[in-house]
Amino acid sequence: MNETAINRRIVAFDIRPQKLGHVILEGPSRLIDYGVARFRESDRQVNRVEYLIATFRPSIAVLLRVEKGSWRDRAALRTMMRSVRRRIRTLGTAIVQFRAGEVKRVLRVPPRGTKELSARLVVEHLPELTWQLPPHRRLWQPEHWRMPIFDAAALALAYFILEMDQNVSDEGRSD
Amino acid sequence: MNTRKEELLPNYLRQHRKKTGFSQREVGILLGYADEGQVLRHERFQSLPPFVIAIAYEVIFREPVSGLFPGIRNRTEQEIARRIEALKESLEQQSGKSRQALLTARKLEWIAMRNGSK
Repeated sequence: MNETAINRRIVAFDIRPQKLGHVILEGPSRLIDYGVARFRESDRQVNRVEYLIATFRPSIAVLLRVEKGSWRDRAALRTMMRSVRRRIRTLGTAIVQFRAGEVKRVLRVPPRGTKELSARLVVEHLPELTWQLPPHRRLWQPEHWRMPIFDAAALALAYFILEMDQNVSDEGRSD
Repeated sequence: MNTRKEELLPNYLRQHRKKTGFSQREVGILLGYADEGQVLRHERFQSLPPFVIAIAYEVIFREPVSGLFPGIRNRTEQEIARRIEALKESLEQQSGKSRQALLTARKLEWIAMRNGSK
């Protein structure tokens, strides 16, 4: 990987059937934008993706690859992911997808580590998000509404960490 | 991977506003607007703020205007460089014996100094 890839502007989406979390990074540490939005209609979610890509013109969109048989694997989400991917490709942005396990491995979250732990690791890289960190979740409480921001941020960071590792190994090979 | 060519964003106002935690409406009020409409348009790159408002953004976020609007700065720099080059060519074509020769020489010297100090 070269210098440009490290400074690349990317968008990461955490897509849920009725929610969309996003993070836009320019390089691994410049946080351009983030947010979470709730939707009742899937069309609006796709429109939001289109708006973010058209406005910030990222070169890469990072998404979570939903594995077959996982708890996330639902018909509604599959349909949504398909339409989002189609829209992103129409806009000329490349798509990179990671499995949930891959993101945990790259961020060094233990396999049974919680999203809360993952969010804490995210804010170590992106301290601007510290004040957005959700409070500790009790077992009986639902997930905090801001959590999709951290899931999207974890995806974006995983992309840059993998790119940087690739860079280091490329340099090692060229010696 | 086939990726789109990277361009600087026209401005980074949203990034700086989000750091502060202020809403668009609150920044709008700080800038002297009645509501968030103008801030929203600036952040979406739909309109350019007037000079005084650009300075006000600098004062609010404590970031130089060129840092808040790097895309516009870059584009302006390229345009100016192109115009300076055109002006230099026209100056070089002027006669060295005219009454303005000394002035022309000074201008060319300044352009050379400016290009050298880049």
